[in-house]
Order: sequence, then C-alpha cells, then structure tokens
Amino acid sequence: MKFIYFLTKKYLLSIFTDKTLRLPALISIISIFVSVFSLLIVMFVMKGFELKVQNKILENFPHIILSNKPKNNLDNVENIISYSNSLQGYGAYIDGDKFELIKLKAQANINTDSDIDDKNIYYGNVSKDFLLLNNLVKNDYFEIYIPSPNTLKKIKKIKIKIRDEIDNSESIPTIYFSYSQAKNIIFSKEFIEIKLYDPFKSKETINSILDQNNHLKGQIVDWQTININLFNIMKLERLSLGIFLSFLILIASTTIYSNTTSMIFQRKSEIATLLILGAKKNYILAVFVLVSFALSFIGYFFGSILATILTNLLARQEIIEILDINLTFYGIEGFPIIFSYSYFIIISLFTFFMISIASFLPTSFYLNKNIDELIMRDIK
Amino acid sequence: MISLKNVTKKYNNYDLISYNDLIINKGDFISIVGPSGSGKSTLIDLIAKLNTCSSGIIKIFDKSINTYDDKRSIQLFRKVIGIMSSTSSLFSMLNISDNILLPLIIHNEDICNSNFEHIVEKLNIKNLLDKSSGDLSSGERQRVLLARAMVLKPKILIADEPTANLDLDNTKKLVNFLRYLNDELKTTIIVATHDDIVSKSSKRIYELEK
Repeated sequence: MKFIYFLTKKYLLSIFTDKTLRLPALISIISIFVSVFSLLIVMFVMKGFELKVQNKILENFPHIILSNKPKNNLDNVENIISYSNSLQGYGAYIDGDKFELIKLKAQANINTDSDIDDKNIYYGNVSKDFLLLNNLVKNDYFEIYIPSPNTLKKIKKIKIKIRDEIDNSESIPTIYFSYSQAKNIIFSKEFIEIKLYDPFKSKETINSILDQNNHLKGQIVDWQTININLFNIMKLERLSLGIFLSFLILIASTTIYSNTTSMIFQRKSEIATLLILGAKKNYILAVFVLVSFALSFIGYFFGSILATILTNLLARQEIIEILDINLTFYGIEGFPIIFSYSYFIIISLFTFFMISIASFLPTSFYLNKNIDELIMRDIK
Repeated sequence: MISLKNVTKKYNNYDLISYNDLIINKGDFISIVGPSGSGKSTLIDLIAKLNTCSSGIIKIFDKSINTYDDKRSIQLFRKVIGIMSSTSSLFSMLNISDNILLPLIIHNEDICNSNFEHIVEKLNIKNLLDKSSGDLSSGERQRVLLARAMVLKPKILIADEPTANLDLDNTKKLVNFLRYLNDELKTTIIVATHDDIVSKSSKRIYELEK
C-alpha cells in the first residue's frame, strides 16, 4: 500500500509539472468541474422553483376541497386546522377599451358586513396589483360586470367599495367578499375549503373524512390531485434537464479516458521498469486508476463546492431585484434555488461512477491485458 | 545456482539461437561476449525472465524458471535477482534518492535492511541524490541504475551492457564496483558485454558465435 500511495502522489504531482501531461489533465479537470457545477446548479434551481411554487400553493389555496356538505362535523378529523364554506365565480372589469377578467371569491371567515351601509354596494378585499394598475386606493369605488342568470340580460353591473387591499397569490385579480354578500352575486355551487396542519398527509385526511362521510366519495379533492399536472410537468422538466446535463459528465469522462490512455502510453518504459523491479501488476494498475480518479476528483470537488457556495449566495441575496427578473407570473419571491442533499448525493454518486469507469477502463484495458508485452521481448 | 540445458530461442520461426549448456555457480562473475546479433541480450533476458526460451531448460536455484510464475514467486524472483536491463529507466518525477530506494518501497522493505548508504558511498553518487534523472550524465545514470539494482542486496546481479556509452574512466569505476560486489559481497554477476575491460575483469567468459 505504501508503494501505491507513494507512486500515486508522485505521479499526480508530476502531471502539473510535465508540459505534455499538464494540458490534457487540466482539460479533464475543467470538463468535470463545469459539468458537475452546471448539473448541480440547474437541479438546485429546478428543485427550488418547484418548492417555491408548492409552498405558494399551500400558503394561498385550500389543501382539501369538498364540493358537498359533510353530514358529520369535521372538527374531530385529525390534521384539520380550519374549514370554511366558499363560493367562487368570475366577473369583468371594463374601463373604456380595457377588459380584465376578475375572480370573485367568498369565504365564511371573511367578515366585511359590519360596516355595510348600502345594500347596493358590495364591499371587497381587492388584489393590490389590480388597484395599482387601475389607480385605485382603499375606500374607492369601481364597477364590475357579473353573470346574472335570473335577469333578462343575463348580465348585471355591480358597484364595489374597496374595503382593503390584499397580496394576491392567484394569476388573475381577485376580490374577496363576505359570504353573505357573495351569495347574491356568485351563482356557483357552494364548496368547503379545508386547511391542514400537514398538507402532505392530505390523502390520509381525505380517508378520515370519507370514513365519517361516505356520501362525499367523488366530491372531495386535495391540493396534490388538483395540481398533479403542474407537478408532473415540473418533474418531467427536471428529469429531462437532468438527463441532458448528465451527458456533460459522460463527455467529461471521455476526456478522462483519453487522458489516462495517453498517460499510460507516455509512462510505458516506467511501467516496464516497475515490473522488472518486482512491482505487482495490480498495484501498478491501482496507481494509474488512482491518479486518474484523483485528477477527476479535483474537478468534482471544486465544481460541487462552487455550486454549493453559489446556491447559498443566490438563495440569500435579493438577486431577483439586482437582475430585475420578473417572476410575478409565478407568484414567488426571491431566486428559486435551494440546496438539495438528495440531488447532491445522486449527482456525486453518478459522477464518481462515471469517473471510476473512465479511470479504470483504459488502465485495465492497456495494463491488465498487455502488461507482459512491456517487458517481454516476445511472448509465445 | 543457474543452469542452462539445450536452450534455444527461435525468432520469426526461422532465426534460431542455440546456447551451449552452461552452469553458473554461486559467487561466479561471468561475462557473456560475442558479436552483435549473437544473442547476448537475449540470453540475459532469458535468465532474467524477461523473455521465454523456445526449447530447453533454464534452472535458477535448482528450480525451472517456469515455476516462478505465480504472483508471489515472481515477486520473490525479482527481489533476489538485481536486474540492470536495457529496458530499465529512471523515473523522471523522482529524485535520484527515490529512484534508488524504489525497490525498497515496492517490496515494502525498511531502509535499514538495504545496501543504500553503502552503495551510494561506493559508487560515489552521494552528490547526485537530490538531483533529477534528467540532470545526469551517461556515467552517472549507469551508476544510479546499478545502485538501484543492488539496493535490496540481491544474490544475483544481471546486467546488460552496463558500460555502454561510458568513457574509459567511468568504465573502470563501474568495473571496480562489480569486482567489489563479487569479491566482497559474494554477489553472483552475469554481464552481457562487448567491452574487453569488463570481460577481462570477470572470472569466466561465455562466448557466443553468430
């Protein structure tokens, strides 16, 4: 083992002083560095984006929706924080040529009725973005058009007083009404929104609700099912990018392969001398595999360290503001990047696997097979 | 110690070298001489197990050379036979000291059990120890190769043209050292050479014809 350690160290150090070996070695190191760095950063961004979108959904949307009333009280169902009746419909804001679709929501836990002094005016909490775009402020009035199935025109205009402004997580402007007022303007079916302590146990909670309310079968849905297509698309996107970027590591491995091959050919006479001096074939093989692996490891090491540092920097700083990137469409704040241990381990293992193969194959192929030819003038 | 019986070596299926039977005893100093192409280096390679004979038997320590085939015995073989072959080279990334000590590292031996200090002094290469192999002259290089072959105190030294490219002064120094190894350390020496100074210094001459 002393021999392996001694020669590996000496060969490794000599590579950086040998003019012919230095450049190919640097190319191997840089190629592994770039591929590991890129793969880690891209996967961390994908993971960060998915997590931020998921958190936003969990923060602003119900975790379970019931489209019918339960027979039994939901208070004794585990994992439920709160539940409330809700209505949802759509209206339109028209100002000259301007037409804007507006979501109308009502929740029983929103109480804006206390200061209502005119039954023909509806009081609502309105999205901040909508107010800014239309130069409206708190206590201003504006009009919207809503569907009216009971009237001849099937459409009617209502007046809204802005009671408060709210940060909107939805992609379109939203107005929240008190439940009692909303019943007069939203004609959709009433549903129940449930918030959970642990949204990731929504399936178990659904089962608990169904145990007590068998009639709700097919009328209960959780946030995971509602957003399954979105999460599947994000997973597919992540997977395809991961596979595509893995090819970078594959290409980098070919540079290690060729670098190892050229190193062995250049050291042929030294290998022959080692054999004449009595070195074991396996030990010589181990030396060249380790030298090649160590070179690649340098690239991996710096690639992973830099990716980790950059991930932490991007996650901490308000880089979105500095770079003026518009992510309002997704409703997320800050740069969507997060350090993921699982991705780090998977990418590290994959890189180690590839560089091990790239180091072992040429060494094994040229030394294990042809090593006797190096010292024997001819073989029977 | 070493014996050759009916040994032949066939090249390209028609060039045949036949060797007369030969017995080398412990403490011998034998020079293999002959014109170029007579098979001097081939014989050295056959004895050093760097080549295989086409027919006949070569015995070393009363055992056929073919029995030194498994990993352990081949390693032991290389340990007890010091080889200064034409294929030997010095390692450019090691200094001269590490080059000489390399067999100790390979065989996991302690420097205390070696000839290092003694050989370095005898070959007058102490001043070269920190140098790189690229900084050596031909004479210095041959002396370093000889030091490396002898560092493990081998029982047999096999050298192929040890004085090639050396001037008269360096040749004499190297020959004196070979004589010292043979006389004082009782090392059995087999040398392939075309140099009269070397052959005249040996105890026996084995002559080959083309």
